[in-house]
Amino acid sequence: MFSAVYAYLFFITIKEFKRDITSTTDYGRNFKEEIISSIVSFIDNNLTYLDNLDQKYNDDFKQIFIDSMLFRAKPNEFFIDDIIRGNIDGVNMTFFEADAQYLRGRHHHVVFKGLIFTAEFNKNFDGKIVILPNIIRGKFKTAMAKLYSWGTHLGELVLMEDPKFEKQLMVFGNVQIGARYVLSPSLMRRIIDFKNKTGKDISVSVINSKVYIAIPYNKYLFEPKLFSASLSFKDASEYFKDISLAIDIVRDLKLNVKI
Amino acid sequence: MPRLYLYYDYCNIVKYTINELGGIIVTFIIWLAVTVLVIYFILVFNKFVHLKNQISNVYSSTDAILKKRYDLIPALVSVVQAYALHEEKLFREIAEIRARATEIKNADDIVDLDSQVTSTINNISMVAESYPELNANQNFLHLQKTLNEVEEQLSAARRAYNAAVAQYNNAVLMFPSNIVAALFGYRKKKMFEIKEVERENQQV
Repeated sequence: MFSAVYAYLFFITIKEFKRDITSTTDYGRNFKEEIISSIVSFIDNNLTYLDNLDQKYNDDFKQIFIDSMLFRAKPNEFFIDDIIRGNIDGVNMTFFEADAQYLRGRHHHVVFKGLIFTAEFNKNFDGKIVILPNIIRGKFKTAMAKLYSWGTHLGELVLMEDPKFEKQLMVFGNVQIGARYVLSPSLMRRIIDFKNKTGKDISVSVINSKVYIAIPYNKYLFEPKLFSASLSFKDASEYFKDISLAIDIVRDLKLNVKI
Repeated sequence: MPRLYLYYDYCNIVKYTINELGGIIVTFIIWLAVTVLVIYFILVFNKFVHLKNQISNVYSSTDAILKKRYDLIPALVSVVQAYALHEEKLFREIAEIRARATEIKNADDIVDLDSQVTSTINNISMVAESYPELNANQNFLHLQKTLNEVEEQLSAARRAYNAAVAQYNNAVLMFPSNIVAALFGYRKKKMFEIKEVERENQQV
């Protein structure tokens, strides 16, 4: 008796799974249009959601990705998925999920997978500074940093006076005063707090009055859960948390406070 | 007998060779030590040149921002003067500071003067608070906004200058580079004073 019920349930599950797989695109599109869009507008009415299942926005966003100067390798395969655009507290911002890879021979190398955030910076700044996770430590930091930035557009290493910040991140830029103008002591503290809050190795760049933030993720975000019958509270809160990150960036880093 | 002579000659040759070799080794060691010392001196000297250039680069940018701030003071004073007629002491102070600023050419004196200018500007803002009409004046508000922007830039410049001076001072004071510093007359430089109040005020 039990084995018959078990077999029936297994059959139903497989059937459901098959249906989901065969209609993933439509299901995904509907899910994103209805669920994710609703969560986005619920969080803030000034935000709009665009899906990129047709990959029609790829070229525009690839340019943003390259302009950010956060990545050493140029991807030759670039996919973007969910795009959230809008205005938070007077700050125009864009937030999207990117999967960038480069193909060497038959091997795919991941350049970046995660979320990219871009917005207007709250100070007028003509220059560039790039803040990356600190991978160079020790006595010969400056010399090693020269080797690291060799052949890139990163510029020279800028040593900041905040030891906590210096321990976790390294700053490259083409202007010593400009780097400190952008990175005030309080912004350094806020970046560290935000980094610790997300628990991710974030990278930040400020280029010609635009800020770019890359938050790596090793999962695909805002995707429907194939084995869930309906949207659970846990899933919804997870989507909510991921989308709220964009608002957190603007408010935590005080991008909405203009100088 | 001839065998003994041969042996004697052989010993002499060995002795001579050892002596010669010892001399060569000692000469080589001395030569190596002198070369290392010369190379070290050149490297440390070049390091000092690099650090001094770094300071003067940052200093020239800092100086430009300081001038921008000095240029804003007369405009600010003329607006404040129209409302705050009884603040003669403050205006006299400002006039004195401006006069001093035109005479100064030395970096260390500018560092000294900077803290006085900062406290005077803070005094102007405090005076302005007690005149509500002045606080509503568009011209004054615009000047204050510009001054805030300049203060932000100046704060960054001070930090950059202090970072460059800290690197230089470390080289001047630390052994063995302090020997080279003493030989070439490199002296410790003054840093800009960044007050705790200023640190707290800077919220963006």
